[in-house]
Amino acid sequence: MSNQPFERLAGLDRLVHEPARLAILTALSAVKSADFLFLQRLTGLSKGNLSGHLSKLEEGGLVAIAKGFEGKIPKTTISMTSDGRSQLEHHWNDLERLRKEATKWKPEKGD
Amino acid sequence: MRIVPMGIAMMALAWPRPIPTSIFGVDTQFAALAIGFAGYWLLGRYYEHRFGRVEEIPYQGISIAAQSSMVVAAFMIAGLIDVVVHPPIFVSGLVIAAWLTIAAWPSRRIRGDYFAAGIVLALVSLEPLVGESHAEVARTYGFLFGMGLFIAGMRDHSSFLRSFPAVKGDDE
Repeated sequence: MSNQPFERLAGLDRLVHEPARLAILTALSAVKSADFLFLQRLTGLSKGNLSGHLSKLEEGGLVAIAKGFEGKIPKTTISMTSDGRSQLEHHWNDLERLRKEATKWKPEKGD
Repeated sequence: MRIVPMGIAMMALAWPRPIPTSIFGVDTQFAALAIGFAGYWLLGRYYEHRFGRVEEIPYQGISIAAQSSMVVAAFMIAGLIDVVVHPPIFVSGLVIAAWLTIAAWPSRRIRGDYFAAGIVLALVSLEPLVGESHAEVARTYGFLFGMGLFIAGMRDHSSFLRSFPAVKGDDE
């Protein structure tokens, strides 16, 4: 048996797999859109951290960020792109498949 | 918790003892409903200010606003049937019961107590068949529905709070 599940686990897409970003993406996947405050409260991240992760996700084309005003109050609304939704689904499917493969794995003699 | 004031208003209106028809010259029913709606709106503002805002994914492509409008329209038509036709069952009560039951459908991942409330209210709506007067059925229904709103609102609030981690200072 090869070490393939472990190689694939180690090679997971870090843009999606980083814990804070995975939390943000998974939360966004359940809604049409959410504002900055909601994501901050849900993930427990600081403003600076959340802002940094969202910028990386936006650069990667996984989320879309709309900035506007509600009266005089700035409002940032975040939604997942269709590419982001498919990448996240693909990522969770990969994780589930790799976990199954890894739990079945036994070291071969001579390994 | 937004539905809690409406639940309290409905329970107050359906309270078994006679209640005054007006308070300070304002119709009691109107005042109770106004307080219920005002509470709903104010608590909505509080949640948005404290926890932010999300927009739900439309269920089966139908927006939340469209779903709510359909329920209100169905309820108004059913209410008209109750008043004009006097059918042997409480039709508007059945509409609300059906809405709760549909809202609790497993694919929507909403808790089963909505389903249970829908079944109980549907049974109450059938009480005129066993000789209960429409006025008494409406009162029982209103009280149970108000109590359901109160309990569901409180439970929703506590499960909502549990889904958030403890508040941290900014950029710690």
